[in-house]
Amino acid sequence: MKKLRCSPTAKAVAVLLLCVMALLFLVSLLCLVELNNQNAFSYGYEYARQNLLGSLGRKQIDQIRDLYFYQGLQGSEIFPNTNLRFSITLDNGEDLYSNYQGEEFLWSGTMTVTLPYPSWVPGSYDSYGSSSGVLTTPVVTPTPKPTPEPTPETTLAPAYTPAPIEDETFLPVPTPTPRPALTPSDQAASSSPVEDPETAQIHAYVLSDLSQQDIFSYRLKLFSVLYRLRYFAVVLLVLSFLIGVFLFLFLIGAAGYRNTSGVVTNGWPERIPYDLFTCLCMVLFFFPLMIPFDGGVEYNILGFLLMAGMLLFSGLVLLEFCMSTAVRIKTRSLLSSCLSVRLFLWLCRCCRSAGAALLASLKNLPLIRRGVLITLVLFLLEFLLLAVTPSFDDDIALALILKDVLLLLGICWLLLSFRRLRDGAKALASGNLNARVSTDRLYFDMKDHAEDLNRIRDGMNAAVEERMKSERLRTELITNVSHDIKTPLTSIINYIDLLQKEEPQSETEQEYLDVLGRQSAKLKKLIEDLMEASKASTGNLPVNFEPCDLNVLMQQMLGEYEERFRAADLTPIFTSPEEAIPILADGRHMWRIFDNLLGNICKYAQPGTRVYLNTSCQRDRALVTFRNISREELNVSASELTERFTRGDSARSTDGNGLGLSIAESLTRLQGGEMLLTLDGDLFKVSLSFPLFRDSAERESIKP
Amino acid sequence: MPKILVCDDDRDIVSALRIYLESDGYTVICTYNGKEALNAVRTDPEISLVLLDIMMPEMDGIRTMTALREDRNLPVILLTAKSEDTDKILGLNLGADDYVTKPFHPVELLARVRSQLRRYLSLGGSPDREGALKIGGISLDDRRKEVQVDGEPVSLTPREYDILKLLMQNPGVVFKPEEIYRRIWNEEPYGAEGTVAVHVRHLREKLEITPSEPRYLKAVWGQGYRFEPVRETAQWKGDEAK
Repeated sequence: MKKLRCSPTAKAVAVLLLCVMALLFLVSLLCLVELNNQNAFSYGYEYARQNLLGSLGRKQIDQIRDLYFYQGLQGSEIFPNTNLRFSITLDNGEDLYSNYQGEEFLWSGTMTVTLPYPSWVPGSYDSYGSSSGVLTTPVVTPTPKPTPEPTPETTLAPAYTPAPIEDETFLPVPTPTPRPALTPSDQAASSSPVEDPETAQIHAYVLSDLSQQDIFSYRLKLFSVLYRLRYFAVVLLVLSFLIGVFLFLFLIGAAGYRNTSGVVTNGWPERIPYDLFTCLCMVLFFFPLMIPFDGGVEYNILGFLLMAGMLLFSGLVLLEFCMSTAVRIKTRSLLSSCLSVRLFLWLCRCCRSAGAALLASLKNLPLIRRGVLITLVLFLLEFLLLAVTPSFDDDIALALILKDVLLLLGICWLLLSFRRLRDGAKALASGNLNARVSTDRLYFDMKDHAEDLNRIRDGMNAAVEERMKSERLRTELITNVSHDIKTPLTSIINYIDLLQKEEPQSETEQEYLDVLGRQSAKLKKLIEDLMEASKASTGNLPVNFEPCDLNVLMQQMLGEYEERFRAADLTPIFTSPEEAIPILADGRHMWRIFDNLLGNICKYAQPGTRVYLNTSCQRDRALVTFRNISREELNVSASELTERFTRGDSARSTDGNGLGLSIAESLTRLQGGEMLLTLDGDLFKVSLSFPLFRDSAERESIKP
Repeated sequence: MPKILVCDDDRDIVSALRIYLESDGYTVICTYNGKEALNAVRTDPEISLVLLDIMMPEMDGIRTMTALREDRNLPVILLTAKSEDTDKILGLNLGADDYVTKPFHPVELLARVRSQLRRYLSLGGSPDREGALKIGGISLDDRRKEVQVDGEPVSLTPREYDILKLLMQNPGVVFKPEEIYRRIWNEEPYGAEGTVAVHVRHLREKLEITPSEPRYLKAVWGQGYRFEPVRETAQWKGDEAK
């Protein structure tokens, strides 16, 4: 099935088959309709045959009347060489024409005709127009009367007993002329021809031998064939219908599969917008059906073929329409391909962008102008609406204008109040805590709102003040505590010094004094470092950023430390790039950082080793690294080392208080840098990185 | 012997200072708050130096100093527990001649006292020689190639002398080590500018009382070195006395 739906040949075959099926269906349908019209299914063959003969015969009689009375043809000129025989008799008994010689007949009928005008003569042409005469006068009397030879007809007559009923329908008009009055005159007609005839009677007979090729023999033969095939026609109808439906469904299902990929794609008909396509199909569908057919075409083989072709064309148009619709549904492009939908969407988009542009331009307008503009537009709309209402007069207009003016004033006042609130809130949001919203000429909720805003401002002010106060208190606390500790310490140090100057009483006394001196010096250093650390870690330290060259700094520090390195038996090796490495930092803090790190190296590095110092630039960062070999085993992690009071030697035998690295890290971070500690075996590495300060223009602006 | 006024609210410190100063041969007047100190200065014209604590009740050191400066232009050394640089700068800007941060070592304090007194009392006597550069307590006589700190000669190596001369000729100007090297050694440094730092350190150790907190020869970390221009309050007083 999947292969089939993709193959164009299968589709073509299906279309062909569908045409054939449609034709078969139509033919069988026509056949059945014909049979049913003659009541063949309910009353049997003979009755239906008589019915057919009746309807054909009556048509012929009508024609005879027209031709004879109104066209002025001679009797012999009418229907020569057919199976029909007829006689025309005037009501005064005069025979006008007859070619019936008493042969056996299958069917006979009579029609009473009013003469076109009283002094009518056979062969004269009716110049007054035939229609009026035909419409008013056609009368066919019941048949039993003119049956002189009852031979085969007697057998037939009972079979079509309902014939009079049928004739009744044919002549609803009661015969105007009193028949009893005529019958006596029938006999008198031959004797007194002076009397003007008013009506004539046409008797028609269909001969039973049907020796001539005419409409009777043709239709009767066809009818007998149709009758014989009547059940087959039913079967054909059903079969062709089912097969046709199946083929139709297949075509709908296969529509759009143009290749084996299994994807539905649009073909050329789908490029036409759906609504246009629908209109086109409708025009093409109804166009052939609107071609007028003249009545005779149904017996013309050419006409029949033409009609069939037209029908086929309409059918194909319908099929294509269905298939295209199916494809569009499958590709979900039914609505989107509609021109009207596209137009609608485009209009929507236009409206939306126009609205957005309008809104944006409105938003850029100052608040008051914006509000007034909107109000005025609304007023204009109001007036436009009212102007089209019928009950609009000058008084109402005046009242409305008054109302609008008042409303506009009110809105202006509201907007002015709102603008003040808005400005106050904006100032508050931007951090201006001194802005107060004035509550003069603000009323009701506006006033409440302004007061609320002021309260928020007060609250924020209080919070900020509180915070600044606590910050100040903390700074003061640090200085005060520092002072309160340092003052007694000064005494301690001084008096120990004084004691040491005295002559010692004993050796132990001297020893104890030395301990006191050492420990008080250590305490002094600890307190200074502690203050420094607490200030650095809380950021409570002013930073004066200045351009600072790391190379110069390192040279200066090495100059300072030259002696101490020598004392600790260390060899510093400093490598740096040729060019300067400028950073923005506070020189004193940088000194403190380097002092701590180099001091650590002197304290903790293995004597007799080299200390590697390096400065470099990496993209936008300036890097400084200090590398040395530790004397003690480093049994702590890098992160622990930067914590306060942690030292590389857990025994704490050396002097130092473990604050050095912590202070260095805090100060580094304070100046926007990063400090990284790496421990690799006994290798202790500190890396500092600062943002490079490269912009010369920036440098110029800093320098003065 | 010069009379020295000591003022601190901590009596132990005052008595310790008294012991030190008296052992060094000075006469000491002890006061325990700012007002007493002011009165003492006003009544005793022989006082030639004041040691003032900053944090004191009633009247702090800074206010006391400004008040007594209105009467007499005495050298003042501030004793401060506030080690913050802002406090030091504030004190110096307001007219202190020197400062010592607590907890101080007695030796350092005595050195500073001696230095100030020398400048106040004796330096005024030595006449300014022609061609001599004099900033604060440091004078450099280019003819004799002689440098004196508070009137006492200091021996410097030729390099140290050249560096000091360069810096003193341009007080307040920061010189990069590289530049100093180029000017003094008269050649391109090629990485040898590190020696400048060593020389400057030696120089500082010879000139400064506390080399770690230099008054004159300052390092501007990351930039270079400069000679700090010092205000000469005591100097003018000395001239006045003369």
